This record gives sequence, C-alpha cells and structure tokens, in this order.
Amino acid sequence: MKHFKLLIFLLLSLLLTGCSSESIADRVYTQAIGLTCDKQLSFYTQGFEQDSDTEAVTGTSIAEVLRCEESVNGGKVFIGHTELLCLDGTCTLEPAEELLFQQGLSPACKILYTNPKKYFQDADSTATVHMIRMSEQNGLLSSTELSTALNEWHGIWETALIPAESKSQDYPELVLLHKNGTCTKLSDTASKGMYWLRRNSGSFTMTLETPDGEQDIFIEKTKLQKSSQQDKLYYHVIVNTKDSNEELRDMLQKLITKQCKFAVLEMLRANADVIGMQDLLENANIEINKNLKPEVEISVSIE
Amino acid sequence: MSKIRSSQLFCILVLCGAWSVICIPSMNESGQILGTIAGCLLQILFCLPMLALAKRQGSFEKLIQSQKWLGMLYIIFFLLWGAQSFIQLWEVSPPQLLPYSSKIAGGILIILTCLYTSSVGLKATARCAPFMIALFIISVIILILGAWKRIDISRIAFTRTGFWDSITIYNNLSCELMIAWVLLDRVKGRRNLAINSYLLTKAGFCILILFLSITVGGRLTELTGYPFFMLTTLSQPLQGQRADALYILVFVMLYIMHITIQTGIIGHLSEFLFPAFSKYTAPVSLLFMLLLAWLADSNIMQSITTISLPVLAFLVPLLLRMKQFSKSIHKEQSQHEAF
Repeated sequence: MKHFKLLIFLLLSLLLTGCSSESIADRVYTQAIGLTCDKQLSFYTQGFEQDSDTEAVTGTSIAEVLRCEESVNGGKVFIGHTELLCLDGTCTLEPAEELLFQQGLSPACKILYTNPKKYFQDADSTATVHMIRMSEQNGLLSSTELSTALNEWHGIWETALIPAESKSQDYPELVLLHKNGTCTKLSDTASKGMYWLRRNSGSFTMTLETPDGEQDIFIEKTKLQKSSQQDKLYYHVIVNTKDSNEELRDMLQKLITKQCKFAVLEMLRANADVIGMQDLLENANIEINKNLKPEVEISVSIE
Repeated sequence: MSKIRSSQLFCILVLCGAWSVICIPSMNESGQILGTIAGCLLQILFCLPMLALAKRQGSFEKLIQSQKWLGMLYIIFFLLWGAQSFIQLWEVSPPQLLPYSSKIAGGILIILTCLYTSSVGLKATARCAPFMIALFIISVIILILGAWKRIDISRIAFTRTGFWDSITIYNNLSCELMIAWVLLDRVKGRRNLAINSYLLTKAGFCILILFLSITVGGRLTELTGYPFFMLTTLSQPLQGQRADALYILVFVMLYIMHITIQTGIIGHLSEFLFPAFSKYTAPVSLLFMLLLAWLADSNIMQSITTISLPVLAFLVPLLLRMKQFSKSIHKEQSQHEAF
C-alpha cells in the first residue's frame, strides 16, 4: 500500500512539472513585439532567429491577437523573454499593462516609440536593444523600462519617458509620451538631463568639449537626492569622480546643471512628470492637479 | 503520540503565516508598515497566556479530554479555516501563477496532493517543514534581488493612512496562533522561543512585502488585488531566465503546507475525541473543507473564524491559566493551614 501511494505521488509530481504537456519546439519565443491600435489591434512579433516571421496579426484584444499569432506560427507564443516593445502612441497603457500582468511580459522590457509596421520590416531588434542598453550604461540615455513607464502613465500627469528611434544620432532620443497618445520630443540637452534626474547611476566615461579639444572624465557614480519644502522641490545631483582637474570639474558641474534645467523646463512645458515630482508633492501633503507646475530647484555637486 | 521539535513548530507557523501574508489584499499605504508593527505587538500581548502555559506540559490536552465540546469547537474552527483557504486559493491565484494548465486542472492537482499529504500525518509534515522553509527563504532572496534595482525610496510617504486597517487585517489573518496553541503539548524544546520567533518573522516578512510593494510597485500596486503577485511579476532578477517557476512552486508548496497542517491538526484533535477513527479523520476533513467551501458563504465563515480566534486562542488559555493559578494558590493555602 505504501509503495502504491508513493507511485501515485510520483506520477502526480511528474504532472505538476508541466513538462509532459508541450515540447519546447512547439513554442514561439518572441524577442520584440509591436502594437498599433488604429481601428483594430495590430500585433507584430520578431523571434530570436534571424529569419523569423514579422507578419502582423489583427484582433480586438491582446488575447485574440495572441491566439491568431499562435495559429500563424503554429505554436504557443511565449512573450516572457521579450526584450523590446514597440509602440506608436495609438496604443499605450492598457495593452502594455495586459501584456505585463496577464501574459507574462518582463517588467524590464524596453519600450521604443516607433512605427511598428515600418520598424519590423527592416530593423534588427538585437541591435536596437543592445544600443539602448549601451546608451544607458554610457550616460547617454536615461534608463527606461516597461514597469517605469506604466508607473508614470498611472501618475496624475499621465506621461511616460520613452526612447524613440533617431535618424540624426547614434543613440535613441527621448520622447514624453502621454497616455492619450500625444508625444513631445525632448531636445538632446534635456534628454541628457533626464539621465541625472531620474535615478542613481553607475560608472561611465563622459566626454567634455573644452577649449583644448575633447577631454574624457571618468564618473564613478552619481547620486540623486530629492526633497520638498513647502511647494518647492529640490533635486540635488552628486557626481563622484577621481579627476582632480578643477577646470574640468567646474565645466562638468555647469554642463550637468544646464542639462538638468533644460530637462525640467521641457518636461514642465509638456505638462509631464517623469522625475518623481508627484511622490515628493504627496509626501509634502500638497494638493496636486494636472495644471500644477511646481517650482523645481536644481543643484549639482562634484565630489 | 510522537513529539515535534520546537524548530519544526517555528517552520510550520512561519510557512502558514507566509501564506496569510501573501493573501493580504491592497498593501499600498506607508501607514500600513506601522500598523503591522502595532499588530505584531498586539499579538505578542495576545500570546501571553499561551506562553505562560507553554512552561507546563499537558494543559491543552487535559482540557479537551475533560471538555470534549471545546475540542469540537476547535475542529469546527479548523474546518472553517480550511474551507476559507480553498476559497482563497481560487480567488488569489492569479493567471501568471497557474498559467499553463487551466485553473481547474491546477486546482484539482493541488487538492489531490493535499489528499495525499493529509494522510501522512502531522509528524511527517513537521519533518518536511524545515526543507520547505529553506526553499521559501531562497524565493524571498530572489524576490529581493529582482526587486532591488527598482526600489525608489521617495515613494514612501510618511502618513497614517491604512494604520488602523492594517492592524485589523493583520490580526484577522493570524489563525496560526491557533495552530501554536493546539500543538503546544506536542512540542518538545523551547516552545516560547518558537512562538516569539514566529511572531517576529511573520511581521518582518509582512513589512518586507509592504516595503517592496510601495517602493517597487509604486502606483501599479493600487491596480492589483494582491500585491505579492504583482511583486513576483516585477521581480525577475535574471535576464535570460524567468523566476516564475520558483514562485509557482513556493505558492503551491505554501498552500499545500497550509491545508496539510489544518487537516493534520484535526487528526491530532480527533485522537482525543474519537480515538477509533483518528486515522481517517485527516483525509475526511479535507473533503469536508471542500464541501464547506462549495456550499457555505465565505463571508459568514470569515466572520465566524474572526470572532472565534480571540476566544479560542486567547480567552481559553487565559481562563485556563487563571484556573491553574487559583488552584496553586488554594493548594498553597491548604498546605499552609495543614502546616
């Protein structure tokens, strides 16, 4: 009897693994997903293989387009390893949220503001994701990902900071994408300012233009301190560097201050919040409304 | 009747407590952190009569042997709690945790596993508990590692919102104290330490989940019914590997442990009340729980367990301790008079 029980238990535990139900070859793993919502929801996918299919499927809901995608690809679509989500502004919050919470899309998935139809015709998602990640590491682009964007869209200003395809430069530019689909492009200076104002960062080398030509300065780490006093918000950026050249340090401080001020100015002009102003205002018990434009004081110190 | 070690009791209580914590809905207010600390202190206060009795052997067993109706009340409590747990499993389990088979298939497999584990007895379950707690600790570490990069301290607002609510919720979901009380006589070793450590560990885990929900989930926490599951979605520490399988494993494991302990305790109580049938009571009680979950109203069951918890886990030990105390005074007096 004891052995029989053990046998039953082992058989049940085999079923619990889920390995018996499907072969790995019967699954389609996506690397990039594109969404547009004109009259219907259009869903584009790109797999990890070079020659993977990028045909669009249409439907009325995410569940429906995934079902269509499965019948097109002949296997169950698994989007848990997707690295890139392409949106064009017609689709923002709801489908992205459904993909995260219902379909297992990774919260660290990068979002790119682009036309998915054009993008999936000739772009290489591996190269795009690599470029976004390297730009973030090298201090050229503020870190953005799906969970951050969703959090920002749920804020009172309903605007998220998202990288967009750029034709003029080697790295993506940043746009402020409102939940309703309207989009504001940030200038290059403001985009770089967002890098300092959103979170702490690690080490990278920055190139400064001096009268003697270009000079590199190694930044060990940056720290952001945020506080509020009455209705004024204070953002203090601390940059750690071992470079002892006073002139270079002074130049760096002025440059970062300028970039941050541009970032705040353009962000407030677009009626957006992508630097956590709402949390600070809520902590200070200030009544927030969509038209509120708080005063933001920027200070930078090089240590 | 074989004894279980105090460390095993600690593991059992923590695992059952962890299930209660992951089932707490709407954890998105900073005031709830203070509320949880206050709730924990209140529970330590509630446990004082039980802790006082823990120093003496056989208090609970003697009580239910002499007052069998009281033993029946405990059995009814565990049956209702178990039925509620089945309802919770259905309500709580989000699609991402039981995704690859239908919810019904997942539920049936879990129930079948519970049916098997309930037949192995309390001692075997207690032996498994330390292994399960090791797996649980690994999953908590992975949860923290995955969430670490997304923590934004500025999201914590120092407000009192949610303070009173969280005290109530925290205390309503503390039925594990009943497990501690019922198993007290069966535990060898440092029982007080096990109970106190459990209270602190559960509060610590609850505060951790609250902290991560607020600082990592941010506004997304308000959208989801059960913040723990939102956290498991957001906490994916490895780029090329998803941690979902681990969370599924821990979720199912905690649930099975929860039900097995409830049925095991019913089996333990029936050893005193119906010794002839005690061997079969655990699996039969599981079927009763399922039947109750199917037929009874969940709100009524919730109210009954909420009301009976302080009575059975606080008032009964308190009265018992007072009785023992008055007896010892009476004995001392009579000895003094005889002298």
